[in-house]
Amino acid sequence: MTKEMAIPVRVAPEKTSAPFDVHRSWRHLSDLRRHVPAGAVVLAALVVTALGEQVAARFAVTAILGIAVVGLSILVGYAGQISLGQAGMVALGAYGSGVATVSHGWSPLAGVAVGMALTLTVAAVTSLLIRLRGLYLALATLALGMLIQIVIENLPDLTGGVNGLIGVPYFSIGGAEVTSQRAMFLLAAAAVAVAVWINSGITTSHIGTSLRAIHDDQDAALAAAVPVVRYKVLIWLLAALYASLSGSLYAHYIGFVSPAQFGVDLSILLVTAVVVGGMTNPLLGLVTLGVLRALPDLLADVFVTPAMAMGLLLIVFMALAPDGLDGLLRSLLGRLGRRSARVEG
Amino acid sequence: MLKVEGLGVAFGAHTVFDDLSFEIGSGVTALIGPNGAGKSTVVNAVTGLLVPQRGSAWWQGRPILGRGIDEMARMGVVRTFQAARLFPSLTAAENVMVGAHRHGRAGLLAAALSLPASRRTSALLRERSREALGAVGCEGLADVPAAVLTAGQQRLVSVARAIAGGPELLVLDEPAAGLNDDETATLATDLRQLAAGGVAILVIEHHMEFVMSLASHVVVLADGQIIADGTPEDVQTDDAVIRAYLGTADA
Repeated sequence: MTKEMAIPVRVAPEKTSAPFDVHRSWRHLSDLRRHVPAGAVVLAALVVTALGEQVAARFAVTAILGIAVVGLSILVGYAGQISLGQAGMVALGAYGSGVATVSHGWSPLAGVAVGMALTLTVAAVTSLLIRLRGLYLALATLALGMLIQIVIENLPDLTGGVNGLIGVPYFSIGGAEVTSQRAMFLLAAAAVAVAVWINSGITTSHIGTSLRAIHDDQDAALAAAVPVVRYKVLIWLLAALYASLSGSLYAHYIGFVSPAQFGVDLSILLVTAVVVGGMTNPLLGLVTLGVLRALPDLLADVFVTPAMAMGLLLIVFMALAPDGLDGLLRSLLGRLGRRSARVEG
Repeated sequence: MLKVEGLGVAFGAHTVFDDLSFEIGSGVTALIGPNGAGKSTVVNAVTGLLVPQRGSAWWQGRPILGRGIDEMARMGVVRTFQAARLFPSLTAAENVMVGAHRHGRAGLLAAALSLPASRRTSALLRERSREALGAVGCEGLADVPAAVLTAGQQRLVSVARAIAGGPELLVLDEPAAGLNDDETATLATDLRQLAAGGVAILVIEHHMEFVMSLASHVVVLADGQIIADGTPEDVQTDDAVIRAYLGTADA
């Protein structure tokens, strides 16, 4: 009975059995649309790989950190829950891999698993924080990131303390080592593509709609029976998982982990990429991450530290373009569209 | 079905009411009274938005005070707010989809892996959303961003969002405020249909014509006291109600 009620009265029954069903074709089209962002990542990765070892080397760390950015994109951009301590989760992944492989001689794959288990445990325990809102959440996550760094520094027997761990092996799967720049870049890019694909699945579903509702008005979402806390916790865990993988691959790529690599500046870099790129567009977040990582070289003469440039960018975008590059592009396209419509009219 | 006994709410030193008891059954119940009588506070207390200092309340025999607004919504008590409070970044249809959320089976994992179950749930919720928008005469607004709807349209969409949750008790805080005459008439018809379909409705409203045409049961609140409780006819001729609304010579 509900089914019948749902069919708009104006649609005549014979139309639904017509050879070309507009509704169905449109649904197929939008089903395909969810695979486009991941497809774009794969395409870009193939182009970079084809350009050679040096170009791949230039983008390897961007691809590795990109995994964490994709996680933040859904946590901050979609669900509207800020995290200024994501470097802590990256550190847990990196140290999980580092300790497992260097101190215990386990395989890198086991290292990744240890990193993920450790990160998920910490993220589950600290998921209480995600109940906080706005400024309180920002400060609490900032403190969490710093706390993880301090704990790592103060466990020298396990983590090597401030000196870190040297000799983290290359990543390998079943004895096949990932030693070339291109292979490492491709591996990280594949992980980014999978993360982006998972994000698209969530954001194009009814859960994505509810996450945006939580972002807009948490109390109204509660009143609509959306399990706000459960969703926030699950997305917090998902973002932590991405950050952990990012950290593990980073450790295996650089071959060395120390607390200084996972400071507040890394957390700020990751958040800036999401905010400047456009909250809900992980692809622009990845592009922004690449640009931000190149900034210190480009602007070395202008700014004393890269953090200064990043802070300035963050302030400018928050104040003038809160929807980031994504919002700017959309309004530009909208304006062009209106102008061409006027010309035609 | 909803039973309230000895309800008391105070904000600091200010007591809104301290001993309120009433019952509402099926059909449409209107909670009316002069501004500042405490109507919204009553509704906030029974829908989980605030925890009263004293008293008890039961919905379908289960105690409800102290439960959160989301838990109440899952128990079938769904409310709208005085302001429409739509999600501005969503379209009208998406807003209503969020209201239908609890009818979706597929969880985050199914969505993350793009499983067919997730697509089925999305399609089901879209369908419920279209139905609910149709019920308030807003099917044409489905793809319009909520931020650009008129105040009246936003209010109707917020009612659709509440209906989409499949409520057993629908609590509406001034649903006709900001609506034009046509929209008010549409809303009254829809609410009558809903009530006929077995949904209990509790409505706070200042629009007397709307209330009296709709409600089968009227509770009048003034100065933190229930001064009348009966049919619209009884209440309209009640001396205490007339005094409360028009004031007395010595007031």
